[in-house]
Amino acid sequence: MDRTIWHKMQSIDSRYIYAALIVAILIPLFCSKLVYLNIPSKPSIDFYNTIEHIASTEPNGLVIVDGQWSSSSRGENKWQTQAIVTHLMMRHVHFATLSFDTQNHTLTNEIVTALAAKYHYVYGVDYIDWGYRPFQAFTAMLKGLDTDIPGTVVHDSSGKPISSFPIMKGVRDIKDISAIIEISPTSSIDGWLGLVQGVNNTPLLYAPTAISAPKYYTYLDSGQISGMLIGVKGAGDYESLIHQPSFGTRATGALSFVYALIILLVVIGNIGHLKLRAMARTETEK
Amino acid sequence: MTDPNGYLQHILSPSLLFGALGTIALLSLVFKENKLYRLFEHIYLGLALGYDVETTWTEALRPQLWDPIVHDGQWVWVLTIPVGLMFYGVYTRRFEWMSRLVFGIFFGAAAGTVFQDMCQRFVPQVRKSFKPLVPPPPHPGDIHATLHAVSYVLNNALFITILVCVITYFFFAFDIKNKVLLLMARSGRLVLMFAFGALFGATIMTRMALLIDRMYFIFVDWLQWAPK
Repeated sequence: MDRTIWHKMQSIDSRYIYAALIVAILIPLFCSKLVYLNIPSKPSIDFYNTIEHIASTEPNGLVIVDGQWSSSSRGENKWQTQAIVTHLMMRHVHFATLSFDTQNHTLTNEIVTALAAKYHYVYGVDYIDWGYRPFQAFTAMLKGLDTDIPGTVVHDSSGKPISSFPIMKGVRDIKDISAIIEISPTSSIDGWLGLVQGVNNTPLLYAPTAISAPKYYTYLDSGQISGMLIGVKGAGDYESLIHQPSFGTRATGALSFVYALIILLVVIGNIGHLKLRAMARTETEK
Repeated sequence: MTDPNGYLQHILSPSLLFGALGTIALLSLVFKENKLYRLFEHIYLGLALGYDVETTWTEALRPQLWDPIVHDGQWVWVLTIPVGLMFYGVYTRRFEWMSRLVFGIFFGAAAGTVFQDMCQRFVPQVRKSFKPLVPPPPHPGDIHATLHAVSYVLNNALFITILVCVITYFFFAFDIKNKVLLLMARSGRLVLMFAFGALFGATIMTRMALLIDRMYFIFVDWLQWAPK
């Protein structure tokens, strides 16, 4: 049987699809003046409001920013980190960074150092780097944070005792922490939920990759997670909430084009399938 | 381009060029398997492993074990080394008992931790599953109080219905013959399918976000063809 247009609609060469995909991504990158209707989702707004609440009610509160991402999920987690740290610095919220991934320590430091210069953040006074810990120590570290933060973290990344920094004054245990922010492509948030958050009902904010997000919607509903930035869309949401458009905003636009392309391809494939089925039925009736 | 020499210097700068070549080589797999892809895949794996080893030594083992023992005189940490070596007893029949000792301690500690973890993670969820079908008293001055009350009840009713239907679907222990239960189980399966669909949509979002990031790197950071 000859291959008709209806057959071809169901089996488009994958190389054409990849080419179309790249074009769909490039349009918003090249047309930076395109205006996107980026409506922040409720979990992103809740995330934003939690930080705003801390900024207005606890001027000396300390937020833990735990990063577990590496270069493999940079496309989402880097931009989330950038948007979150920008917001913390804009509202002058003190924070401590902590990494359980070898690459993450360097990647997070690059972002924080660049933004610290812009927002005049002073190391040891406005922020501190608790450094890298192997993931094998994750559980022990979290349990230690519940009761004795200076005794668990001990040194910052440069080897100085953390108690010697002004930012750590009065910080003893989890009760002295205003919020925990977990930026991760893995399910490491389970540890924070199970071993830390419930001890003192400390607000826990989560910035996962989009693929990990659906599993944690239930925790949003139960109030165990106070806000969530879902993938690069969450980064785009946050950039629009803090009025600092960057990659996340453009990537959200590109995502919309990609989704439109996928829907178009699904429609094309289905039209071909339905038409062929109708033709086969007509043939049988003859 | 105002300064061709400067531009050439930019695109040929080693870190950017290597990053761009790596990106192109790894993406070339979508067309077909090729040697350039294999080369960069191995380079990436080697770099990641090397980086892991170096960071673990410089940021964990040296400052937290080596320096305290060698420079700070906290020699008592030496005792952790034979305890760690006991794990390797599992490889010989003679010293197997040693590994059982440390494994036993770790199993006990892990079991206790998991118990705390499960209670703190899941008990609040079970508690929050019991949602009221009676709306709370309206806020003073709320002009849409009726609408809010209706949406509150509808939301909670929908939640409870879906929860019961999905739980019914997981009754595998006995054969369901009752028509109402069957309908509930089928509805449960249907809503699970919606959830899986959302999961799949989110998967695409992650994959595409990674591709968008790489395209941004190639066309904005490296080639500078698209505006920053």
